[in-house]
Amino acid sequence: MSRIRLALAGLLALTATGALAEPAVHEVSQHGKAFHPDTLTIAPGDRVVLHNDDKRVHNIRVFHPKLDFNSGKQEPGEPVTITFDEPGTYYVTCGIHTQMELKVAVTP
Amino acid sequence: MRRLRPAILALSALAAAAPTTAGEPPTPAALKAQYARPETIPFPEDNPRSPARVTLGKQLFFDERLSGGNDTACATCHIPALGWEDGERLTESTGGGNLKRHTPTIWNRAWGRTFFWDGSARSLEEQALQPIRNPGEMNQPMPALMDELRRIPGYRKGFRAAFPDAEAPVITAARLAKAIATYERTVVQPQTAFDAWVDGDGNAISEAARRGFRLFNGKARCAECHSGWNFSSGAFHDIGLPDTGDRGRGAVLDLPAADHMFKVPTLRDIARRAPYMHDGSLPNLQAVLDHYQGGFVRRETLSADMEAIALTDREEADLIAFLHTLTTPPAARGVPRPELPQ
Repeated sequence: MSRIRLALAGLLALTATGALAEPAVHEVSQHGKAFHPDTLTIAPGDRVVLHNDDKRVHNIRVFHPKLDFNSGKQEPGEPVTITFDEPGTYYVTCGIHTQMELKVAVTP
Repeated sequence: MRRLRPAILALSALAAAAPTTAGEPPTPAALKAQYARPETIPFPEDNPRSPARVTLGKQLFFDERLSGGNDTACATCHIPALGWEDGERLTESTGGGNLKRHTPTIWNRAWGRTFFWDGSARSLEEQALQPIRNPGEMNQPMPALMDELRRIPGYRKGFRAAFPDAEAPVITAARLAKAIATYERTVVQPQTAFDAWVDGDGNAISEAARRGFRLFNGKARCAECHSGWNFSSGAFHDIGLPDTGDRGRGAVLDLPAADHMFKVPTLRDIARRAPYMHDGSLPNLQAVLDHYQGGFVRRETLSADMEAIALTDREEADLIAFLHTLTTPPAARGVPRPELPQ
């Protein structure tokens, strides 16, 4: 019994500190040829879902030594998901509307 | 999973509404503020500005010895007195025929995110070497150019001054690119009548030009893409020019949805930079206005921002009057050619 109690207590402690928390999903809207928000601070393993709420096609790109991402054609209404596994600072942009920039800081 | 989207959307809606009361256009002062010039030129951390690097870059930019035939410099096509273009619809190619795209200006490229009409270069350093290598332009293989420059004592001295910490050989293609890029970043359009007006001189531009500025930001919808102090968002659009087989941004991205897209050019000095568009096909500003008033090709890749506008004769004249306020003053045109190293 005491071993089970200890294990449960440990599990509760881990959950309370977030060590077993699921990766978070951060949602970003694209409209007016801009990302909203345009900065994110997330944990490794988190996912960022980029929604095209614009009236135009986008092309989500990340050029980074740890992440080379190309969404291809992203139609209005279509979501694109990027998982950031490695710590670092990433810049998400649109290959067509290069003025769009989303800064993603991935910190443990 | 935490769902953050509703809160984000609400926040961004608030932020978008912040500059003015929701639904109202920006005040004239707020609109002018969007066009205020930056105070300093940005230089990248890995290629900082130094006087020696600017001097060297300028010499290289004007030196015809950078070409295979020793007859073409960067400045041969980017002519300072012509707004850093050459006035040609399409420049003659070294190998015969014409280049497929119109020579773009190099005004204010320090603020650029991508380079060339299709954005295929992601830095000025990357851009600088390509016309030198291009068989249709300067047609100079880089190893041969390095040999040539290393034989010129003045360049050995100039590269050493510009890159004092560099290991031998000091003259390399990468440093050649850095020097040219540094010089190009200093090519910033001087203060224009429009800038003086933005800075508070109410009489710097005519009443017609002021009406044109309102049209530019309103009914004519030019500022949708020609935005900010440099009059370019830096984005790529298909504006419905006839298909010449040039995929533009589509080829760079390997994305058919981006076919026919080319970068939004600056409008700085636009009245002195005819002909217009990436293919040089429109001979004057009136032809450009005609194009946007329905004279474009409708196809799947046409920009969502392309909706035919309708302007009266007076509105056209006002818009053109405004565009002329972006002209470099005569006293500030051209730059002295540098003395080249021997």
